[in-house]
Amino acid sequence: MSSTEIDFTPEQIVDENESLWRRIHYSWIKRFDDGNYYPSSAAFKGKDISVDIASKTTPEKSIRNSAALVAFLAAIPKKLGHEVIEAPMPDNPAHALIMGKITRAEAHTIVNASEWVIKPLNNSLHS
Amino acid sequence: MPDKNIGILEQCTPAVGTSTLVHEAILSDYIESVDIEPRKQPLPEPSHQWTQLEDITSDQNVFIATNQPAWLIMAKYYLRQLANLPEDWDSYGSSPLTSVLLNNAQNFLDSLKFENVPSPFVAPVSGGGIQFEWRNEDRDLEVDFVEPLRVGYLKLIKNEPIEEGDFSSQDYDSALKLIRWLNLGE
Repeated sequence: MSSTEIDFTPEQIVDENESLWRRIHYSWIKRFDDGNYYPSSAAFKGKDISVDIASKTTPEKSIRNSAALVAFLAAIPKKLGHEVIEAPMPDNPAHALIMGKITRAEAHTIVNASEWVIKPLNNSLHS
Repeated sequence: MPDKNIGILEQCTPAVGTSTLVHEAILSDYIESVDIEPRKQPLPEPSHQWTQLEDITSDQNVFIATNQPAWLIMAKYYLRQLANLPEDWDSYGSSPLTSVLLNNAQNFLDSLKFENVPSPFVAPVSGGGIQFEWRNEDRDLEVDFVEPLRVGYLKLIKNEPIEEGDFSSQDYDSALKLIRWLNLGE
């Protein structure tokens, strides 16, 4: 996303009870010895990262060509000090942004709060 | 090339990856560097044990030509895979990995060449960066390359962050301290 600050109105703020979805590229998928898959924290690093508001889309629309889809409550980034705002796009009215730069530790908090909406198949780079 | 090292392969602990694809990719890189046709023979079984292989050549064939530990070969293999990611690889508009950050990441790995570490999980970071992740017992270490002259890191114990910071990409002492913390917890 752009490095410039993004202005937003109160009407754009997403409620903390909304579920947010983030697409997971295959290279972000880790499989541990227990056989379970986890997203890397790299999936949540960056500034003003994009998500979809779950109530405004479907998993099939949201995942596009990615390997998997995870969900977490908007309350998670909000508690970390990152506002979540609606930012609809012509091809994706469910699009939203988590404002600000997510630190390494914050990315981990989001990983720990995430659940699979669409689980990865056995096709990660490291499987 | 002289053939004095024939037979050393049999004395080495197997040291390369976990699939035929990985073996072939690794071998082809090194074979390319010495410009000799490969000999067809069974590849060694995978191992996570650190092993340093010597140059092993014959007058007609190359088995493995590297002095790098297995974990480093694997990590560089994954780096090369990620270097080919296209524009918008993450579906969120990310640029491909930048050559500067790739070089920094590779130099960081090379600085740890003589350390006994597991092979890291290698992940791209949106915007063109790279991240390495290690786990040893209850300790996790993440190291990222998202700014040209800096190395970022996060230490975790039992999946809880305990320390986050960054240092110069030329500060190899700090890199070694991170890995020794991962290995020894100190």
